[in-house]
Amino acid sequence: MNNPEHLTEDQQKRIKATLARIRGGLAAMPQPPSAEPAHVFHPESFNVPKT
Amino acid sequence: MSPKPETVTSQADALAKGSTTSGDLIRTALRRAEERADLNAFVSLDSDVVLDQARASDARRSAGTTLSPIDGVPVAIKDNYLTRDFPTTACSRALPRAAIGVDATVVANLRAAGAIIFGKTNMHEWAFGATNTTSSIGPTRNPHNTDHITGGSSGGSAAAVAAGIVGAALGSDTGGSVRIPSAACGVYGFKPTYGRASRHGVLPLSWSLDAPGPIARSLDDLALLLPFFLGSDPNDTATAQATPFEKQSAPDSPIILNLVGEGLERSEEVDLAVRTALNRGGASMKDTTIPHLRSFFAAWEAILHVEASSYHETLLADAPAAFTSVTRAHLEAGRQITALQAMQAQKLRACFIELLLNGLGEWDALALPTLPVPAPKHGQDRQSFGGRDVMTQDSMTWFCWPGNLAGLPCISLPVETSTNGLPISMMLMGRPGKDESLLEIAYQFDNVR
Repeated sequence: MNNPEHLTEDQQKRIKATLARIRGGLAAMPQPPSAEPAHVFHPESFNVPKT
Repeated sequence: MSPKPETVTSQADALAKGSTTSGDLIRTALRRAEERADLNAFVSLDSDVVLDQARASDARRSAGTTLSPIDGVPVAIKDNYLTRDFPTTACSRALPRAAIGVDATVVANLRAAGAIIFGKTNMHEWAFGATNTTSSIGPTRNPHNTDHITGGSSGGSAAAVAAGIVGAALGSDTGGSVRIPSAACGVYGFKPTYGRASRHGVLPLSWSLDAPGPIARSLDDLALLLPFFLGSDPNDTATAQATPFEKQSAPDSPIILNLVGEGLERSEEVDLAVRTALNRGGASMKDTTIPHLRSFFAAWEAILHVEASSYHETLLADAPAAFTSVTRAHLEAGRQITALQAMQAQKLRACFIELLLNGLGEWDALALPTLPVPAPKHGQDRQSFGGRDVMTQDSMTWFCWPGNLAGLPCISLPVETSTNGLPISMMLMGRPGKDESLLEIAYQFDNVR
């Protein structure tokens, strides 16, 4: 069902524009390989019982 | 027109003095909701359910067992918060119109304090949009001029508060969805620091950007409501180290940076209104630019699309027709962002946080307009301001996404009325975890007209 053929022309235009904006913006500021992503992961935060 | 709308604070005072009852407040709110049905602010409202809650509250007050100062006060809830007595549909055709008997943590906190869970408010479908023009029940309309949009995605909540139907309502904010409609409708909105307010039971748009927040008619009301949002919740691991609300005083002379420059353009009228408010509030401020905004915006947009597509992956595969055309296009775009691009976005996010917190010099708050233009008209697809011509959707999130990308606390407060009679609002962003301090700083710029 997610075949692009099932998307309308307007949807395909929107997808193309969104991806161009995202990829263009990301590529405009490359990061050094050592730069650490901002993922926040605190394993100890799972060490609490759920209510 | 109804009498002057009440704040939550004034309603709580009246209840405490015995000059009104919860039943009276609820009957008034129900009448106002009916009078302003043209706003399309509510998706679920059941008078029997809310009057039952009000009767229970009044019985508690008579028995001297009142649960809190807001016991008996109505609060409306955005339709992406789970509520045990109302359906939760996110204004999408995909979700069933039946209550599932569970409250989101913030709703449970309010209910435990005796607040009346008044009804569910209209929102942009799945919160994936900032205009509130795409919804299973149709668009909301701005109480200041119904030809204009409310903004979104918490548009019904802001409209209900601005119209005086309720004194406060809940919203959620991924790229400005509390602040945008608050600004467009001329009320107050607060987005807490990411990880200080539980997202448990709030249907996600983007896990690492989402924050629940209150919309109200005064700063005092925001201060009254924030304790029900802030604090650790075992059901939301992001809040593991969250501290509860604790009143703080503002810095003696807060340093405010007025953010300007490329990517932060605004209309002359809006710029003047915000500068005037900052000056009248006596701010020690200086104009400051942020480099690479195009790249940082791309990082926010990438994270938003990837996380939303991940959340909706199964439904998108099984029933794509359940989404409106534009929302489906957003989700399909998210599926085409690669893992490496998503990681690049997270690296840029780290750079952005570092830049804001440590690369701009000393500051207590960052100031911006909340919106670059007053609320656009329905059907107006593009906005022109400051030499830019952009889609209305993009104009709505223009200044708001940085607060979510960096996870900062943000507040929107009305500061002026435009020449066409619509509100103009200012936004202040604070340092992470300094939500209470940001609220106190905002008082300096409130009612300075």
